[in-house]
Amino acid sequence: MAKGLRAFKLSLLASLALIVCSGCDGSPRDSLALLSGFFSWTTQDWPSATETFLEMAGAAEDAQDVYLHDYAQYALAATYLSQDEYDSALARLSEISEEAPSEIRAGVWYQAGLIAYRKEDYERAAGLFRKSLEIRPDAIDAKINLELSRRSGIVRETAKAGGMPGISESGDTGADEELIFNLIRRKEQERWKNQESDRDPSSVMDH
Amino acid sequence: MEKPGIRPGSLVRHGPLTGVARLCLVLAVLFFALTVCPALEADVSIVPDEVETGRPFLMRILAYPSEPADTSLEIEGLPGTFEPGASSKEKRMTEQSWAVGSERMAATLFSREWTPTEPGDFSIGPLVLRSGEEELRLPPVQVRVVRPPDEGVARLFWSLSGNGPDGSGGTGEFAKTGGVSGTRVRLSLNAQFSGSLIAVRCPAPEGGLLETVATGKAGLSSRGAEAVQVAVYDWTPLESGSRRLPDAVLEYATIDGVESRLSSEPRSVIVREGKKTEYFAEGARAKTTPKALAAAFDDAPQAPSSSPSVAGTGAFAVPPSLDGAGEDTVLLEAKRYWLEEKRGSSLARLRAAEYADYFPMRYRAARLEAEKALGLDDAPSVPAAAWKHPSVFGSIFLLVAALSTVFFRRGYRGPAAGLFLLSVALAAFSVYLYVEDSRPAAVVVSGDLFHVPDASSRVVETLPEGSVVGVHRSADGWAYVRTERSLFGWMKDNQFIIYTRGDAKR
Repeated sequence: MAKGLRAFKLSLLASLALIVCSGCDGSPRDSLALLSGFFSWTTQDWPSATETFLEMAGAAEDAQDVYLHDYAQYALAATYLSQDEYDSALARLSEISEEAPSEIRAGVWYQAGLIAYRKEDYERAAGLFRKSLEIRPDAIDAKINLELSRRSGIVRETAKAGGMPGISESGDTGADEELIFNLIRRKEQERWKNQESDRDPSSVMDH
Repeated sequence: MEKPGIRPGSLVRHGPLTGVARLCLVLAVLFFALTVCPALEADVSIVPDEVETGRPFLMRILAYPSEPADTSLEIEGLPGTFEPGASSKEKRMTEQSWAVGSERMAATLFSREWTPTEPGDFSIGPLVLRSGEEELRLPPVQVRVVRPPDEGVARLFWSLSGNGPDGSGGTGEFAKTGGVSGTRVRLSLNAQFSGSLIAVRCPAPEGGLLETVATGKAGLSSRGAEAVQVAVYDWTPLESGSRRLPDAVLEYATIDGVESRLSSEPRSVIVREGKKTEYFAEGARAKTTPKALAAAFDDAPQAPSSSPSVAGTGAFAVPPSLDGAGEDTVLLEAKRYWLEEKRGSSLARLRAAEYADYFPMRYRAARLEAEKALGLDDAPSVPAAAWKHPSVFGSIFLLVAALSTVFFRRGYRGPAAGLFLLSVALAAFSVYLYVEDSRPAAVVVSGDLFHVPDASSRVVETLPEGSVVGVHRSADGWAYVRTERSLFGWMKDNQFIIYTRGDAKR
């Protein structure tokens, strides 16, 4: 779970950074507010981040700016999730429109998956991470968490079906998680290496 | 003479061989008994070993030698808290090493499933097994049912008389009508933890008496799934208003042997003002009460006879200062709010007037009385904001006067120095006022303090009506506030009334 948590933080950070970058298309004031909220979020100044994103959400509603509204809701959900307020985060996620940019939609499924995982609903979590991957297939955090969710679900089912009371399988889970992480990382590295090697000849030819 | 011979029907006796034949006969009978028709026996087992509430367990009875067709099981006694589940009867082949001449024999396996609903020690049986004409009676099987461990939950909380077991009900008479100052109330301290109890500590609270009725013994174990009562106290609030229940601490050792502590969840109750003699009018207890305690009741505010409190509704008497409001519109308005049971609005009106007025003594007196009646004695004071600008201007004026005295009337250095010191003092006073009034302050009307700006989030604290909060941030209908106890949280902006002229949005 510790790994999952790390992935969770990193992913939220990456998502928010992405939002900040893409949010620069709006007015300078909105971009500045988004940036301010983002910095508050990274320094874990939750009240300040919440205030900024709430103001953004209010301003977006007044201006009927759907995109800004979606960004603000997503950022608020991320802020609530960081404070372990799952239901509040879900409420914010549910307000994001279906026309939101793909990174936001992928993030919505991803965050919902995290919430389901935290609530130990592993099957649902796996489904949600899968949906996130369908939108953004290159999201490594979603991949990791999908595998973790599946693994946790299997462990629980095994414990339910044949496990004797008093026997803890938690000791093995950490090692399994480590194994999954390493495997996925290795595959990713290989994929990148292959891409690099594929690219090299063409670049030579260009020159 | 009769000839000796053999009588018909009698055994032929062959001298020394007679004993050997007897032995053979006995052995033959034993062999037959052991191999052909051994006695009915049974093995009983419980799966799993540790039986927990809400989880099914199996009792298996293996009867041998027997054929399922002519074997039956009767359980003569079964606890009422065992809900029956699946049952089965199967044929099994069992190996019995002691059986002479036969390694495997037919057996009948009975499986009975139950789900216990309550913890405790129970007995199942006696069990009666019948196979053919044989009957085997087994003594009752003892089963200990425990609650499943739930180490994630650990809490310590008070429950009042009539409350639900989780302490959240508040349906008791005390919770409905509020207590009466000077009257004893039975409080139960409940805990949910996994481990064994080490000690319970509950120091005497402020503004109340606490007597220990019973405390749980060290070693009392809990599995965490359901709360257990760890102590019982008699609490006598000595002051009226919203009173906080005592702060208790429970020390316990977890299953792993790690010592841990739990603090009681904060909880406040409304205490109505009672007669000071009520506590002492309870028979023998009055004689044993130390005289020193009587002084505690002398300071208790007395309800004015002109406007008695309404029994059973938790209403408070109108403070005397509000009662004699006269023509003052602020006091009249505050009184109207008070009578409409809008205590927060009443206090906010008084505070706003005190904040804006140059000489707000009458409003301050009324406010202090009202806050005392609500048990809010420690509420922060109102900054004398009306003096902010005059003190700045006064300071500047005095400084100019001092300088002009020095420049234009060189012989008046003494008075000039005095004016300068006065100017500095006024400047310091104005700085103090500006600092005091740097953030908007508000009076809570109702509601909870939330962890994040969402009504479904965790409640940090339930603030009593009339308490004061400092508003640190506000956005989109929510405000981030700080309570008197330095707790931070979010409140909807209709949950409080800002009484200062800060830059708050409401």
